[in-house]
Amino acid sequence: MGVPRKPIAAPTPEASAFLEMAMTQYGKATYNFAYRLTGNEADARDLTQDAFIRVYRAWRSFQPGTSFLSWIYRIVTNLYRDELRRRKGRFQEEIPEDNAPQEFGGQRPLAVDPIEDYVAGQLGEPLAKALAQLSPEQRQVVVLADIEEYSYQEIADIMGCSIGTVRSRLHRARALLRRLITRARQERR
Amino acid sequence: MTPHYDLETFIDYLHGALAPEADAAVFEHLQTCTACDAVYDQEAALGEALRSAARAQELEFPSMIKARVWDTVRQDKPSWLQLLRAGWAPRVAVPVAAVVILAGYLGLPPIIHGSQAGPTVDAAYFLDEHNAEAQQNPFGPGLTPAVYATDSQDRGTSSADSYIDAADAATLGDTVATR
Repeated sequence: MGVPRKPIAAPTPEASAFLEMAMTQYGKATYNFAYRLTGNEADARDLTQDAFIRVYRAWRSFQPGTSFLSWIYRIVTNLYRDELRRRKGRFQEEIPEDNAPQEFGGQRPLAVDPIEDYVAGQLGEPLAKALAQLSPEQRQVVVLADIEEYSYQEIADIMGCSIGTVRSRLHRARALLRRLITRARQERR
Repeated sequence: MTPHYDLETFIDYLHGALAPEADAAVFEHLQTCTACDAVYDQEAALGEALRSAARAQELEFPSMIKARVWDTVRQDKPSWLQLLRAGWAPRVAVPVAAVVILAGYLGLPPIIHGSQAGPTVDAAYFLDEHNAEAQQNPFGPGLTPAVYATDSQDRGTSSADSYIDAADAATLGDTVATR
């Protein structure tokens, strides 16, 4: 995954300070957003890295007073879409590292309580699998609407589409999610 | 009794995407219709499950991303063309242009024509010129023709006559004749 080379301005202390602050304050949120879109850590890392390089190169285009998260989510969404187009398919399945259970996504935060982790894993597994079966656009809209809790208008701005498109994608995605979760639960029994 | 709402309306209601009047109508309906309330609860539960799962699976920001970003950014040296473009900001361009224009005005012709310098003129030429002027106006301020006479004689040329052309001589002759 690579950011297209574009003419850049000479490195400035302002750009460096902006990048440092952006990564410190929004690195985790951006990385998690990328992870939910791609479904694996390797692609999420690449996507996040490319997004912050874009932030550095285009930091002047950020409008103060607006939401930085919305801005970087738009960057991540665009990069993700470009990458999907380039690969003409889905992101590769991640190879589990150190024999970690794949449904947990390999690396987990150590601060999480193991019991809470287990419960969350039980709850999250069918959901994560169901999410992975949505189309990239449907997954984006579900992540933005239900996990990040953005409004339809904000999602439309981030994804670069109309509110009507957001609405119809979300309706279809939720209907599909419900069916997939129900089926997964029936298979478990 | 108001008709039941469809699933899509509940999804929009859940995300706060309905117009205020429609939102109020759905809210009112849910207070009285248990069937619709059950459907709405399922949709709300799906959203809550998604958020809970996301929170539980939240990952830390890997420090390697930060390091890789900085590595890439530091290697991103601008080309000379980009630097030139960046340098053409008015605060740089205006003084540079002023210096270039000034240099052109003051010093460039000798530099440009330095290799094709014009015919060299012997210093004696200027002395003769000066001497000639002194001869024409012997009472001019600060002129001492006698000083240069010797030099002119050394080189075997007439000091004044050679610099007085025929027309001047004729005029001088006329003046003398009228007197």
